[in-house]
Amino acid sequence: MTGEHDLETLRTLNRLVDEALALEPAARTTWLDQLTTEYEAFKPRLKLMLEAVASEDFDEFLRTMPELDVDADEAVDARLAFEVGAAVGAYRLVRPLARGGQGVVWLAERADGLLERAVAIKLPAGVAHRRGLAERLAREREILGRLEHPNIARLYDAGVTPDGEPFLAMEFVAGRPIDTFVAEEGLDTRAVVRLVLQVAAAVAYAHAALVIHRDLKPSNVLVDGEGRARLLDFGIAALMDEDGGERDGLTEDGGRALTLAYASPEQVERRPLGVATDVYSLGVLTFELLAGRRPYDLPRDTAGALEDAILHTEPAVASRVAASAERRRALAGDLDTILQKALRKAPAERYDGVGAFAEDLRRWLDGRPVLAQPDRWTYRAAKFLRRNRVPVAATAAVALAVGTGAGVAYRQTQQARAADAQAASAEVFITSMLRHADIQAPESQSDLLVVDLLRRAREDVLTMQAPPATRVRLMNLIADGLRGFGQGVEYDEIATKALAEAAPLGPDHPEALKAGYQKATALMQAGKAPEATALLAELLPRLERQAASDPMTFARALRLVADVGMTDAKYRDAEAAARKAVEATERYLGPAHPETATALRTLGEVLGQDRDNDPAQVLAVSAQALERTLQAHKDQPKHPWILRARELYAGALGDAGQLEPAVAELERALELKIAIQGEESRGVAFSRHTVSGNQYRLGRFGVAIANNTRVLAILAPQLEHDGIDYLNIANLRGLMMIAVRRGDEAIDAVAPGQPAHAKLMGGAHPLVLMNRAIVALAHGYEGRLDRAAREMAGVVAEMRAAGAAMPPVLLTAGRLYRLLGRDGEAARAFAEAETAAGTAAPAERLVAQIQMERALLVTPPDAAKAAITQALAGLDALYSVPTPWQADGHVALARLLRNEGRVVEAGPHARVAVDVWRALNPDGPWLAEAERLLAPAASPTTR
Amino acid sequence: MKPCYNCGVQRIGQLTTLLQRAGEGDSDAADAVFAASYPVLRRLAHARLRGHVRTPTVDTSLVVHEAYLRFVQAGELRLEDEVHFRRWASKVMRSVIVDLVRRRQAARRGGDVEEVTLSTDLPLPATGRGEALVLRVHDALTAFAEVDARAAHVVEMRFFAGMTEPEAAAALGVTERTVRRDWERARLMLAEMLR
Repeated sequence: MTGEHDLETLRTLNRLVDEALALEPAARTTWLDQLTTEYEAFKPRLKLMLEAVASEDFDEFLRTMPELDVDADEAVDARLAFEVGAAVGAYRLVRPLARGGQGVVWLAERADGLLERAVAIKLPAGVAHRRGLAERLAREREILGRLEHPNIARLYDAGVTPDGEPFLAMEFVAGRPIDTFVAEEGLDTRAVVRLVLQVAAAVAYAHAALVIHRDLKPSNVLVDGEGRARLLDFGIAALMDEDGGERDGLTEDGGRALTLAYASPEQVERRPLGVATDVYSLGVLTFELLAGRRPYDLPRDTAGALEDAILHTEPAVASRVAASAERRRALAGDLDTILQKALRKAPAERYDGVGAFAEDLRRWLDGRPVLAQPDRWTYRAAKFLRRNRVPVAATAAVALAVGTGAGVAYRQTQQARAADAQAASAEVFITSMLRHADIQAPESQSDLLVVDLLRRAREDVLTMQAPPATRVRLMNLIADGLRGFGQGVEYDEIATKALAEAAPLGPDHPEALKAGYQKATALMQAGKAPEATALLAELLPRLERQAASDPMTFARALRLVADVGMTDAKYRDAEAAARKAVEATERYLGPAHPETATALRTLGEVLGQDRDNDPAQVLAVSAQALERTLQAHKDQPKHPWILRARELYAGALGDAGQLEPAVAELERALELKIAIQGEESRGVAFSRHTVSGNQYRLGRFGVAIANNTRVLAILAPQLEHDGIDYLNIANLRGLMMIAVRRGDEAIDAVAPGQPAHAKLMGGAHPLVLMNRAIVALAHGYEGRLDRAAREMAGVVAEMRAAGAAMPPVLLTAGRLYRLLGRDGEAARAFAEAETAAGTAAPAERLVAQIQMERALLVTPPDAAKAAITQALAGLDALYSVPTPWQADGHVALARLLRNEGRVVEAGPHARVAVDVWRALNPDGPWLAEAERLLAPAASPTTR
Repeated sequence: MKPCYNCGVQRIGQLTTLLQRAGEGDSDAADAVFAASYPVLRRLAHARLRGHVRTPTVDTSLVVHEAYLRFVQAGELRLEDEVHFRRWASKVMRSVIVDLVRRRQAARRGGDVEEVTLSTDLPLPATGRGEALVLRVHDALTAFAEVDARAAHVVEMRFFAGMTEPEAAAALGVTERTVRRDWERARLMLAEMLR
């Protein structure tokens, strides 16, 4: 094994092998025989090795990555049974919580004990070994794992056990189903509405993240002891119901019957689902919580009767069926109207999203007029049409006559679905989905559910008989969606098809131009920049002529040109296009339009890419982009684009050398990210890590350490401790702790990860050596001087062996030598560090620190004072909050002044050091020393 | 903005600059390249292993290429950075594969990684379960890198990142002949170390 090979032997062997392989195979035996006696010990080994070279086995060795044989292992573990103590993923089952037709739920804990929180493991029945399930689960975990909301139970993990059983690991919520809670607590109407608002907030959040719940029902909403509602099983219904293209019926087995009670008409009919399905189910749930029963009065309680009722029976009026007279009075009027609107058969007639439903409930709570209108005449007309199933063409005509367009046309029976209706249906669905989704939000990529829905819509559209303009319009809509979800190949396919079908419309048709833009985007995404450029060149003059009627497509095409330019480093072209996009959006859409802000952000990014640009100009544009973005989304203070704009501005500040404002902006971006994603989310933790790293660079160790501590609290239980993410965070902590001289804390931060870090980066990596230097110096700070000296000698030797002079390592070594009183060695280390660091801007902070260290080694008092004062000026220019290094300088000055009897003048210097150490390391000897120098009575101090 | 020391998250558009600086020996930049590309490569590699037609091997060359395209699309890399990117990505790919194998072994065995004993009397470990071999090659390579860093890098590129000889030569800026010699020698050394 590797451990048995000492490096010297390997080095020699390697050299000999190199010699031998350079020879013709025939000459090798002679070479081996003629090796001098000093290599005698190597001969048998070399002989074996050279023989092996000729073998077939060797020919294959390392040629290809070996099979990571999943199946062999699955066979071994095939009979893994689920019982107490069984391992599922990274979890150990503790006790069963529930068992039913849909599967089993277990209480579980992390097998490695890293996470103390209890976890609920769901083992769904009857879906094991389905084709593609593992892939779906993996994608689900990525998508659903991102849902972080106070009213949503987190999904921690999802996967397939070795024997093919899928599992979902969710946050364990100790609570009662919402209907039980409402009944047992005897909540009044207003309290029920407030509770429903919590649920609605969670659903609206998920919709913005492009996830539909699809299975809202009381058993999926638990309320904990503090009255907080938590939604379970987000998106799981889709995962389990539709597999391999086969859509299971909702009534497939007894376990699903309850679900059917909350299913929407489109679910029953297996039509495409949009956000409206959740609006409906939430409506049923709310109805039941308020009225004490469900909206359908069934003569026979069978699935068939229920389906029929969902499709054809008007829901009951809540105020007429509620049990108590008091509740009936509370419901009559607005709440009835709100529930009726949520329970409309046609998705397009329901609330336009859960947010609108919640808004009306809030209006009711506040006593303001609700927005839902009781039965309008068009609605009654539509109901009439539905009852009297007239031929489709006539329905469509009447629908147009009554002026509701797609909404009524959509209400067709399945048997008589006509092309226009189908088109309208597809359009309603696609636009409903996309309107509620933050397509461009950077983190909402590849959402499985929406993508699946889009794919189904695409199939509908492709097989649909409709005029070319309609087909192309729908394809463009679907293309928009697929692009937003990062489905590159499929996006290209539909864009290509749309473009081809648009040909008969003529090159100037708005939909043809849109299709052209889609195709250009697809080309760009496929890395075919020249083709994209050619197509754009053809489109742009046409788009420009129609800019007044379709400024969005024009601006987007221009932004695409800018993207191409950035990719090809043709910054002038990119800039010209971005400027034109800004101009067009400002003119046609106005300065406050989101697209205008986006164009400005693009311009900021373009300018920032080109290092030749004046940073001040980039900064000005980025500042304006931020201002416009804030303005455009002033009603959505948590919009992801605001985050993006802040990060852009922070980057521009950094490039302009304004590190402090840049960090301040990063801190604001972090605040925003917290507001969007919640304090404990991973994304926020990683951003906080960036912020703390930059605060560290600024020498703001107090806040930097506080932030790092929070990052670790959140991520330590989640990350692999030998992975690079965790190591980066721990290593940053080591750097901070050594800077404030909390030695043992530095060791605690760095030492556990050292073997893994060395393994990841290689033993001689500067960061690996730096960590070892930190540990050595830390031992020194803790008074373990021999050990410190020994370890540092090892680090420096390895650095020499690697043939490098690493400034941070040398500086750290020098600091230890100074601590040990080995001033000569320290001086040499500092001098070498300063030379190696050079004068480039990134090293200026390091150099300023080195200069202070060198100044502290100067012995003649006057020369020392001058050198320290100069070094302090250098540090003060870079670190506006005094750091320990400035404290060192001030302590030295105070000491020198007191030695001259200038006690009063020494005071302010000592004061600075006292403040620094009180804040950063109140238990260390440095505070005590600084406080002594503050003392009014002079007791001569010696060094 | 300059990459912060040891930070995991980088601003968009920076990978090109970081690669350049890493190539000039800036270790902070190399670290940042690692941090930026590790999650992407990991995600893509996992996607392949769990793909629809579950391929038992990861076509790492494809994964690296895919990652490169993503970075280009995101405007973080220029098209001409491919060679440069692959050079660094090979190291990252190694970590991804090794982490992946470790995690799978751990998950399969409920946490305790069990060392699979390989035949000790055959001259070469050509047989044996793939995952165990990957880990053993990884360990041996770590030691071998101390002896011959360039040849070890060639192994990373060829074995872990699936690069061809010409690609590795371009990435390292040496001739193909040199790469071939490094590769043969390294394979022989590793085979000996694994014996």
